[in-house]
Amino acid sequence: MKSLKKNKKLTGFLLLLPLTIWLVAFALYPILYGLRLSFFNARINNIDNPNFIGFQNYVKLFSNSEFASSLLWSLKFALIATFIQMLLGILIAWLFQRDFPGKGLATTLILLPMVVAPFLMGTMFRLLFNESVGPIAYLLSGLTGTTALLGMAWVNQTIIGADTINRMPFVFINMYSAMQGVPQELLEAATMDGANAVQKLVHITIPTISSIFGITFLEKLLQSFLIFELISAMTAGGPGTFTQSVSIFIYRRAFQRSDYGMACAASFSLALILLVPSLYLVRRNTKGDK
Amino acid sequence: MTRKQKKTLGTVLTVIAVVIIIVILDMGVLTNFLTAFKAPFDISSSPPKWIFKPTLDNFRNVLGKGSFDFRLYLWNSFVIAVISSFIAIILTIPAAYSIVRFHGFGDVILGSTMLLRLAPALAFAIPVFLIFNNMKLLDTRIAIIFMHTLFITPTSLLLFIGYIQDLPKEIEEAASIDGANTFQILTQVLIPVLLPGIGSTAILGFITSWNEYLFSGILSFKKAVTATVGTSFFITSYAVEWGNMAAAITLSTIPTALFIFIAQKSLVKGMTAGAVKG
Repeated sequence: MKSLKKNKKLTGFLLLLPLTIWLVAFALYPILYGLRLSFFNARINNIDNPNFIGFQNYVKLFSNSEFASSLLWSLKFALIATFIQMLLGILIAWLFQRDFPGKGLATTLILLPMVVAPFLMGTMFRLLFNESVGPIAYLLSGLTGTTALLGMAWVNQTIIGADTINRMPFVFINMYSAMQGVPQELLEAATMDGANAVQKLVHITIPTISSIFGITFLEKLLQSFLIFELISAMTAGGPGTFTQSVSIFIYRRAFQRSDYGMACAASFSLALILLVPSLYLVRRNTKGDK
Repeated sequence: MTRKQKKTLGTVLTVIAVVIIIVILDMGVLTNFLTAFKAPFDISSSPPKWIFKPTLDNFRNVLGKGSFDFRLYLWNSFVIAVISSFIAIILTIPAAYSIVRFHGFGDVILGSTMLLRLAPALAFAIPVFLIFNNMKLLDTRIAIIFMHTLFITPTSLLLFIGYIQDLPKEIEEAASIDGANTFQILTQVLIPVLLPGIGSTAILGFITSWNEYLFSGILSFKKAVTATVGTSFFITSYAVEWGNMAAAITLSTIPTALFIFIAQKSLVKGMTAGAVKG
């Protein structure tokens, strides 16, 4: 009996082995390699033989005003974009609780921007918002008074708009699926008692979906904070460093200035900052499996 | 107003609101699609033209033997996406089976993959670039496949855990009594019943890989470039080839857009797997 139990343990272990090897080789090893490198002065010309400089990269990083302002930009962006996208996603999901002709096709068309790669979405908008040839910039110029939507005055709003088009459908579909789980009888009973649509939303729908709401919110917040591909394609962080998110800052450090040591220090600090909310999210997510 | 009139009015208002939302959300994709069929003078005309004589020149340029081999980039994207999602499935089915039926240290692996999904990709990208550079693997499809597989595994694992949890334990027990070993149970009992799930997981993996930019971008520069990365090549220091770029974007969007039309249900299930579940 005991050997059978031991056997089972071994089988369970062997089944996990391939994935574990992959994770160790391509996730754990690179992370440790990067952590080590963050204590070295490692540039393109001495990458084979970098010199150890202790915590100097970290000291330089946290006294670098560009890093601080990129963190601030990302934080602001994450809060504003997440707020807008959660609000719109919930409202549209709520709208979709009603039946109307063509609902299936409408759902597909709302989800369409979600499967477009953020980088392609960015490249697309770089063209469509172009100051001289962009058709959408032209259409919007009635509202904004200028077609320079990627200039300083409008670029932040433009990026938030583009990101909303790209990512809000994710919130919509999460919230829509969640609302499907709201007990229909309860809503009907409330209608009988004379509750209006807003009362039903506040007192029945929102409490039922609050758990999924929380998870979606936090995941959206983390994702927005790390925004990279969309900005990389639309403005590459410009004009100047005006839309430099923290991911763009790190990317520039590593692949334009080839200051790998400092870029590793920055990405490692970022990972540490995000570790607590991420762990919380993982715990909430895996709880349901037990 | 009668109750029925009120209801009709509500439906009409809903449809109007939905149409406005769809126009705003899909405006970009649609306008880009139109631009791909415009001749250069139609693109640069101001005010922009919405009605014009369509041309296939941009697509001919992009797919022809121009300065870049965009056909190769599309092929690279396809090969990388197919192989990456295939490997991810091979890795995660046994892992999911172990987590659901055997317990052990599976929870640690599940937790790590989920953490991986949320971690800043650049924390991996910089060391991975240097490691592959050392191994002389830069600009090869295999290097990109290694990383794409890694980033497909979290969702893939989560989905298979869900599918296996839904299976009755009795099938495996019956097979086990008949003398089948774990490997046989996995390949002959489990995989056949998981096939529909494998299908939707594969689609999701394909999209993840096809749309990925950061790793495809830093690990390739000529031979292994993917379509998503290649679209940016139409922006040179001399000029931006707007028409060609729009055509390239359209071509790179078609495969993933197609899936949302033909396999919406399974896509939605996969994309919401992280947040929406029991």
